[in-house]
Amino acid sequence: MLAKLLKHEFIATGRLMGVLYAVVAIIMAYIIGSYYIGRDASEAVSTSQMLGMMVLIVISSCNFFLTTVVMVTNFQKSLYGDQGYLSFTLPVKSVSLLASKVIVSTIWYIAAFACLMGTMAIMYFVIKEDYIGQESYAMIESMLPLLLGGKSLATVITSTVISLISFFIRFAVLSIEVYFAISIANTRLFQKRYILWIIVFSLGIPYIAESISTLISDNVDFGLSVSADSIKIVTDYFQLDAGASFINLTTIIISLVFGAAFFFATHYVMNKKVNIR
Amino acid sequence: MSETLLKVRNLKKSYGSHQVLNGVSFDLPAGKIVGLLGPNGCGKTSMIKSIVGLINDYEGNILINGKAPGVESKAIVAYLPEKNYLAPWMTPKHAISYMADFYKNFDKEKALKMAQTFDLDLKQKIKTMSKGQQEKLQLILVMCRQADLYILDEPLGGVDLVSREFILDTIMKNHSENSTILLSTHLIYDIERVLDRVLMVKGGDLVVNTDVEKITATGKSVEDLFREVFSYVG
Repeated sequence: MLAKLLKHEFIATGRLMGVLYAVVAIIMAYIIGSYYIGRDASEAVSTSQMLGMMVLIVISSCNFFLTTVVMVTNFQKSLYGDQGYLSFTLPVKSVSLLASKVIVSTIWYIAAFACLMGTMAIMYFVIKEDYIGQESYAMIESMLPLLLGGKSLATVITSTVISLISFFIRFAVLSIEVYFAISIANTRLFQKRYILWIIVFSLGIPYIAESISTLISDNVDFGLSVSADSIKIVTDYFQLDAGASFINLTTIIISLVFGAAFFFATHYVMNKKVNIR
Repeated sequence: MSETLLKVRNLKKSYGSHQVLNGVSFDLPAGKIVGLLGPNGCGKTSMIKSIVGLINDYEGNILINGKAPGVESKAIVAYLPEKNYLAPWMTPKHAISYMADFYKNFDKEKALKMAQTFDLDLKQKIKTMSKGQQEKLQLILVMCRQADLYILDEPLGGVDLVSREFILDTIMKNHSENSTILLSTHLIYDIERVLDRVLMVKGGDLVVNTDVEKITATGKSVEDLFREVFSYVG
């Protein structure tokens, strides 16, 4: 049933997000296509390419906020509004109901991230010379080896993958924290002014969780030392090899713990403490 | 299947300090049409919401075909709430597919045919449909399920006499064989002729739980008894 819930969750949220990403894909395809097909090397970036680029930048800038608004609205309406009468009477486990929403919102956040990366990549690869100038482009290229620190490709790929996973876990946990905030705002105590409390809790709960996470990770050195040709686990910053970079695993573990705790807390609140209006 | 389809024991529910159900107990056998009667605010909807699994923080026991409200009971209970529970962006076609995806006992072909019969445009968004059209669609979604228990909360409320007859006719023609219908309403006159049994709720207590035959044997109608119980002046 989770697959069916996911399908309908995508349909419900994809009406806006899907259209948005379709626009993004078309603009990206146009910019890349028009750049490589029939373009003179000396030709400057056309007005339509610049316009497309500006649209991409605007969408990428507000994408995370837009994704959050869509996720919050959909969660509130589909569970705690009138549509909750349908959602909560489906023959599915409520844990699946919640999981489908967390998975879909995480995927949309990843899409927002991919959109941002895609926009930056287009800026870099397609209109770099014309837009940011030959000198700046050369400077970025010369800085890359410094940023990579002479690490092997395998090391760079592994550390990038771990960093991305960590990043995506943060998105998933952020979604769960916001869903927990919405659920608390719909309990009897806060139900009368639930919109106000959704805003307060959606800002407050992630802030408190992040503060606790920072406090712990600042005091517990546990992570990966990524050096030129190896990745190893270290439990102290002093164990870092010279020139190695550090991937903080404490933050990832805390995120996972918070994610699990907020997930089951949300599940408890939506089952035991919320009466649909 | 057990003889008793729905068993409710000592059901209590409160909202803060306000007690809405004071320990209600009753059994419903399979294959009966039961009227859940009472004025607005007497606890009917809270009782129904507890049975269908929308309220979980109640006291007492509810068993549907021997199972507490949960995934298994939801698969055999078809629930029609008072509200429009469909997303406004949905179309009848999408709503029918949605139900077909989640309920094995949902007859998609029958639903599509009924939508045509009821003159519903399958591609029209629900937000642009009239209240009557929305009610028809929800009725189709519920009655096209081969459920064991149909729970219909005020299906006749807020509609004209012709529509009430139409709704009642649709319910009677389409419910599955040997199923039980629990029909909540305060419009007794319209449904009296179809009922086998009545439950009357007053101030959170179940004050009447009897067969219609027994009521009519005393020379009264269900409506007479209702007026008597709730002290309505005729």
